[in-house]
Amino acid sequence: MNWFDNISIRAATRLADRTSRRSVLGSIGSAIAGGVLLPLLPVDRTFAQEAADDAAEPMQDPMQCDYWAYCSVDGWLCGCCGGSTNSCPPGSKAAPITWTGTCQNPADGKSYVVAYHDCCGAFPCQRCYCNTNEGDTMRYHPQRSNSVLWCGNGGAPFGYHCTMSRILAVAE
Amino acid sequence: MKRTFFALALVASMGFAGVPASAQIDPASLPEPLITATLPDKPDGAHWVWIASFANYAHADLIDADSGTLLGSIELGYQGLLPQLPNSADEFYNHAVYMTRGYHGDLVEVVEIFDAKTLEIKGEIPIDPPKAMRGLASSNLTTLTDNDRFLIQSFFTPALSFGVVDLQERKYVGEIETGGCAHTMAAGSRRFLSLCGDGSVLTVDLDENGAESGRETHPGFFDAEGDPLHPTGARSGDVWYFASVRGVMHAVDTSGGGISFQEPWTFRDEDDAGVWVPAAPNQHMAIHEASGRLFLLMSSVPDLERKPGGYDFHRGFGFETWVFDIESRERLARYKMDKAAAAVAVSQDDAPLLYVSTYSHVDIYDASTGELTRTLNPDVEVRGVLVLMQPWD
Repeated sequence: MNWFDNISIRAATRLADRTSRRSVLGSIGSAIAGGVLLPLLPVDRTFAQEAADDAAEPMQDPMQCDYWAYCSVDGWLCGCCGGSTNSCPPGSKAAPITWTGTCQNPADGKSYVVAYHDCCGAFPCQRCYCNTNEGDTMRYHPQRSNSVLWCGNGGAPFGYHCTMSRILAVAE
Repeated sequence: MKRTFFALALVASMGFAGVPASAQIDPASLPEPLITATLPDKPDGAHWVWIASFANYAHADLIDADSGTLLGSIELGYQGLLPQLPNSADEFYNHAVYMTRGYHGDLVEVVEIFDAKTLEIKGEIPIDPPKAMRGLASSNLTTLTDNDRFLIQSFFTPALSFGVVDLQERKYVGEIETGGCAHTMAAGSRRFLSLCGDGSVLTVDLDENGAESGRETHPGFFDAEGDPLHPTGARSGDVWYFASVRGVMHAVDTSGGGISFQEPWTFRDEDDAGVWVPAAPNQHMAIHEASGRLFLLMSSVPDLERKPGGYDFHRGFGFETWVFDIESRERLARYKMDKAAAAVAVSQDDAPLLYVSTYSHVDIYDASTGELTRTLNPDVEVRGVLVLMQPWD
């Protein structure tokens, strides 16, 4: 079966009058996460609504797109690819240079600086696409932009595999 | 039994007799020749459009939008962009990145030169060392200067800079370091501009060989922190238009070799759906030159408040296309999109088509009325994740 049939994006993108905008975007994201490769494409929080119903601790599950530290991520979550929020999956290499975001942890109310490291040099993961964009900037402010491919920098291979979300420090 | 045989033979012979002469194969014509097709001459009034698909290793399809026919395809390389089409030539260009082992290995960066009739790669210009910026496929990451001689590429190492290729001499000229400016827009025969992180516009002049001959920073074009500009603007004549995240239009006039900023104008609006601001995905603005109409994908959001980490309302899909008269700045129409949209382009003829990509489909609207006239469907007329479009008028 063709990969595009798999995601059924044609149904997800239909703007039916009865469907709210947020749920439409959620559908697009879910469809994408269902198996197609869409790194760095702008869609809404992929898993947010489902996770909100299920999670015992809201925004505390790193396997869900609404995990608080994913507030400015754009890519496939490495935790779904054999890695974690701070480890690249086997076979891939971390790009040491990253974009950063500032995310608030609802558990303690504090804001933290998060470094979004791309993992590189392996076949695209294509699992758990997550795109949140909080604090994302244009490319003329690249240090906070999730629109550029960070693989290829600092000795990492160029091919994109997934993205980690490494908590660096409490934001001042 | 014998009767049955003769009946079958009669039916068979009648069947063959009914085959049109055009469908019959003349044995003398065999074997059929083995050839590769070339593009037909583009008929007057036809609407051809390149549609780029972003899927790691990317491609672009050339589609006859009036019939939905696939005319030909090219590879774009890893996370490729659109081909660059000169004003008049028998060739066009693609700035491409490849890895020697698929998703790893040595990086190879080239400008590929395509024959515009056969779509064959007839040459390439290596860029060494490779520094190409890739990521979200969006417009204005490469540009041709107005004389079609120099191709400017965006670099990211993560320092921001640009590369210059001399298409006439078929060689890479070198890198121009810009320090904090991104996206490249043509602004003359040997000139391009870029938007910078301090809210300024940078202009770079090239000499006759493509080397930098001068640069100028023009401060105060926009508020880079409070209301940053989407760099995916569009051009009409000598004026480039850029929309801000909060719905303010900025225009920079490059005529006469100078730079002047037009007075910004606010176009965001509010209704029951929320606050309408520019949608962002990949290619959100297009201009029909002859009529002076600007088409902009728009998204409605609940509010324009910043969260603790910053804006999060600036990357929405387009649910409407707004049409502006760029001279009067009047909003002429709001076209409701059939599906959430990521990219928009418009043909330049006097019966213009508005191409709208939804990633999976391309919806084609009458640009004058907003009527949906055709949809290019996945795996029928188009394929892949459709991110950028370029009419080939």
